[in-house]
Formats: sequence, C-alpha cells, structure tokens
Amino acid sequence: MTRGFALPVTLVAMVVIGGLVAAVLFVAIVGRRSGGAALEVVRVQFAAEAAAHRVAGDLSPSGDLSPLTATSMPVSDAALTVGGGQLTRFGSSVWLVDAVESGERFGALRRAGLLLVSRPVNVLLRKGLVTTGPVSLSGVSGVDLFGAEAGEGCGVSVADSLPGVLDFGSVRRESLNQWLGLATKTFPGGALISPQPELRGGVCNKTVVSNWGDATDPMGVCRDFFPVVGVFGDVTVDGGQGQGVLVVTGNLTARAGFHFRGLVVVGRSLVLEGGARMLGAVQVDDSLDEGSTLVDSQIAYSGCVLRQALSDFGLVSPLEERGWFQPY
Amino acid sequence: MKSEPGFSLVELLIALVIGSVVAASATGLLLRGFRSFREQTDRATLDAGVRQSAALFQAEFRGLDTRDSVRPDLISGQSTSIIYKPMRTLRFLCRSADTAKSVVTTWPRFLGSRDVRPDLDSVLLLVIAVDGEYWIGGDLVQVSPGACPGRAPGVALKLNGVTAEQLVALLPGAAVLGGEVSEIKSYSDSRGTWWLGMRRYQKAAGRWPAIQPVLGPLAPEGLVISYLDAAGGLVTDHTDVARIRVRITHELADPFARRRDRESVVDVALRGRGFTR
Repeated sequence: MTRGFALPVTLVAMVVIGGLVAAVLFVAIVGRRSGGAALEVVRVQFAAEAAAHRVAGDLSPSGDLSPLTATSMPVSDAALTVGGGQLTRFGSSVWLVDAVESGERFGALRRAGLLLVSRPVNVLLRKGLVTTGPVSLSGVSGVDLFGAEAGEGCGVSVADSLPGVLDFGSVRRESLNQWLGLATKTFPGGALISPQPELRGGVCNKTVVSNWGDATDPMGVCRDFFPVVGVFGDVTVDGGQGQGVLVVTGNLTARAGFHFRGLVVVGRSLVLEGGARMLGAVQVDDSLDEGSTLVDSQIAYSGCVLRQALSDFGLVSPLEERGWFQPY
Repeated sequence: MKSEPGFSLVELLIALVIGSVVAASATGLLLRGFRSFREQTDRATLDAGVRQSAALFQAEFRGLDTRDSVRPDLISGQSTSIIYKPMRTLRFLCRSADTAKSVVTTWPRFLGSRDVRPDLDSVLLLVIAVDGEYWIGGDLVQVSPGACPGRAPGVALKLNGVTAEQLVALLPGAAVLGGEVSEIKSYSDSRGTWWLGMRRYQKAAGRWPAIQPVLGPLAPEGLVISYLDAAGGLVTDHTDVARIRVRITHELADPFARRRDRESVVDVALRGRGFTR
C-alpha cells in the first residue's frame, strides 16, 4: 500500500505553526516582563524618595531645644539606620539620608539621597554680650571688636552684628535650666578647669570630661565636637579651649588665654582676663548686679559659630534648594 | 486483461485536491503565524522604546533645580532640544578650604556617584550661613589626592571662579555637587533616520563632541519638549519650569510594518519644585 503525502504535509505544518505560536507567546511574555520591570523601577524610585522623606520626618524634634544627639555623629562613625535609610552627618550642620529601595521582582534598585540641614534654636541675638548688669572694659578689651577675625574657621564676618552690649532686660532663667538639663559634661561649683581637646587612637575622645572640643585648630579632629558643659556653681577656667555650650549657674571667671567658641550662659557675673576670647554669644543673667568685667579680653558675636555650636539642638529639615541627589 | 493494483485517475484527482486544500491551509496558517510573530516583535520593540525613553527622561530631568537663576540647571530649552546640567557627583568637605590655593578637600564620593571630572564638571558648594543656606559655583580645574582629618584619604579639588571670601565661608561638612552640561536632542543621520541623541559638553576643550544616538529610530520631528509651570501652563522663563513634558514618537525601521510608530508622553515633575519658600 502506497502512503499519501497529506499526513506528512499536515505534520510539518503543525510543527511549524506550533513553533510560531510558541515564539509569539515567548515575545508576549518577554514584553510583559519588561513592562512589569519598568513599572517596578518607577515604584521603587518613588519608594526610595518616600523613605528619604520619612527619615527626615523622623528627625524633626518636638521643640526648639530637643536634642538631636541620638543621631549626632561625625562622618568617621558608622552611618545610622533610621526608618529605612542611612543617616550620616557631615560637619556640624549637614546630614545625608541615603535611602535604597529594591523591588521584590525584576531586581529593580533605586537610591535617593536627601540633604538635610539643622537649623539651631533661636538664640541669634546678634550681639556678642547680652547682660542685665553693667559692663567694665579695661586694657585691650572689647565686645564685638574682632572684625573679620570673628569668622575664623567659620567664614562669616560680623558685619551683620551690631557692635556692643545689648541689655537683654532679663536673660531667661528657664533657658539656663534647659541647657543644664542637656549638659553632657558637668562640674560642681568651685571647679578649676583647663579644658583641652584630647585624642585616643587618632579620633576625638569625647568621653573625657576636660575635652570640650577644638576651638583653635580648624583641622583638628575634635573640631566637630560641640558638647554642652554645665557647671553647678562658680567656676574658674584657667586657660585651655573649648566649644559648644557652656552653662554656669554662678560666676564664670576665664583667664590665661582661654578660648571658647559657641554659646555661654552665665547665671551671675562674668570675669574675663588675661587674653580670654569668646566667639559666638555670651548671655549673662547678672542677678546680683555685679557686672561683667573684661580685662585684656574679647567677646565677639558670630552667628556662624552659634549655628555650628547649636546644630545638635534644633530642627533638621531638607535643604530647600538642590537637596536631592539620585545616582541611579 | 490483467488487473494491477494502483490508483485510478479519479482517486489521484481527489487526492490532489485534498492535498492542495491541506497545503493551502497550512500555508495560510504559516503566513498568518509569521505575520503575528512579526507584529508581536514590532510591538515589543516600540514598547521597549517607550519604556526606555520614560526611564531616561525621569533619570535626567527629575533632579533639575530651575529656581537658581544665576546657575540654572536648565540652560536652554527648545522644542526639539534641551541643554541642562544634571548633578552627577556628591561629596562633602572634610576640612576648611585652602583659600590661598583655591582648593577644597572632600571625603571620597558618596551614594555611588561617579568620580569628579575636571574635563566635564563644574561644582556647587553649599554655604551654611547665619540666616540660611545657599550655593556658590566654581569651575573644577584639577583633581588630586588630598588628606582629610585623621589621616583619612580625601580628594583635593582645585577651583576657578571662586573668591577667597567665598571659600572662607565653607564649613567642613559642606556638600559639593558636581554637574556636567549635557544636551538631548533629536537629529537626523546621513541616511535620513531620526534619533534621540545625547552629548556632554567638553568643558576643558571648549566644544561639543559629535552627538551619539541613545534612542530610536524616531519619527521625523518625533521629539517635542514642553516646559510647564506647576499648574501645567507653558512657560518661557526657565526659572518657572516645574515640569518637563516630552512627547516622543518611536518608529520602526521596517517600512512594511503594519504599525510603524508609537507616540508616548513622559511628564517629569522636577523634584526640587516640591519645596515652597
């Protein structure tokens, strides 16, 4: 019996058509996967941006004096994970949120960087010395007479400062007590201190009570360290240097070239002598009207220094202009 | 007459007819299958073009900040071309600037951004002032190894176009953004085929290189870029631009394709416009 050709033709046609159908299905599946991947990339991108915003929101404290110490770190420290993003601090006032989001499918990955800046509490009185009592100057002394030098390591002149002494009327006692509550280094009354920056293993040793940061060397490793120092009573600072916030409930005497950058809040009287220098702002609540005395010493306002010194206490918010960075 | 087995003429004719019908059907199915396969492939090609253009424009435009009239990220906006300045690098100062040498030293790069390129980049440096923050611009002329505090490795950037007073205002920790001037435009090659091309301005050489295709082919005049404010109205002042809308028409190279082109619209909201002062 001779076999016909219809069967082979049909079989060949079925194989070819089957192959085409499979190819069409394959193209459709690839297209669907590609579309899904594109959607996933968009979703992940917005998720990364939302995560960065969430971290920024988590940082906002409830009040002006809410400390940000939980997230305070220099760049040499490990980054902190906050709400799905890595938070790293640079210098005193700049923060970077690094939010990375990955999709569950298709390997989508997007990274968003958001720059934050801390805006300190509103103590920018634009005066070097704010006091309720009289001020006595002798020798080469002055208030807000540094001129451009006041910008040392900070870069902002005191041109916007109105030179002189401001009679504050009454330095708010609650402000002093608030700062005392935030102090990380405390001393009893009657202390004699000569603070100096101290290193251990090449990094700033912040645990030492006499290390108040580096006020003189812009390259110093303790330059970004701005502690809050509290003294419960009178204190004499015999030379040395420091920066941050110095709160003294009693009398403050500084001498022998003591150099301080930041905010000084004094509960009673202030005596600066022997080339003492204070850059930032000094508030003296001269409750007994003993007066402030400067002998061969200087006080100069610097809003920039204040901003650095108080950057741990304030609002952290996204940089308004060019705050975003997205590498991929 | 001796009878022999075989097909009669009628049987052969019937078989021939049936065979022809089967072959014709198979051929029809085959051709239809081929056509369907090609249409699917064409559709996938056009879809891929749409997706790639959406990803490209989102990545390139979303980070532009148009509010800075002195150092605008959007330099020139035309309907078929756009010259802009995307930020490609992010760094942070690790120490005060060397004002005498006009050098700033940064920590190594962050967020996986690329290296700074003196031949391409200019930089913006963040100043933290008493009453707020602002950026100053500088031209990057040289990159060399530098030293950060604690003997950590850094990168020294030598700048032009910044004054000592501006450099003094930079605090350690200040952000440094590096951006390159780029152009996206539609163009026609020597064969008359339209493409979406990109190129980066060679700052050191002072010229634009030849444009390179990144998407296409496009339909003739297949790229239309519109510049919109936050309400969706067309604007001419670049500092008012809050959205960039790109209408792009991809085209297949095959002139016999059943459907040769696909138009898509990508609307990019500029991220920096989300803030209000």
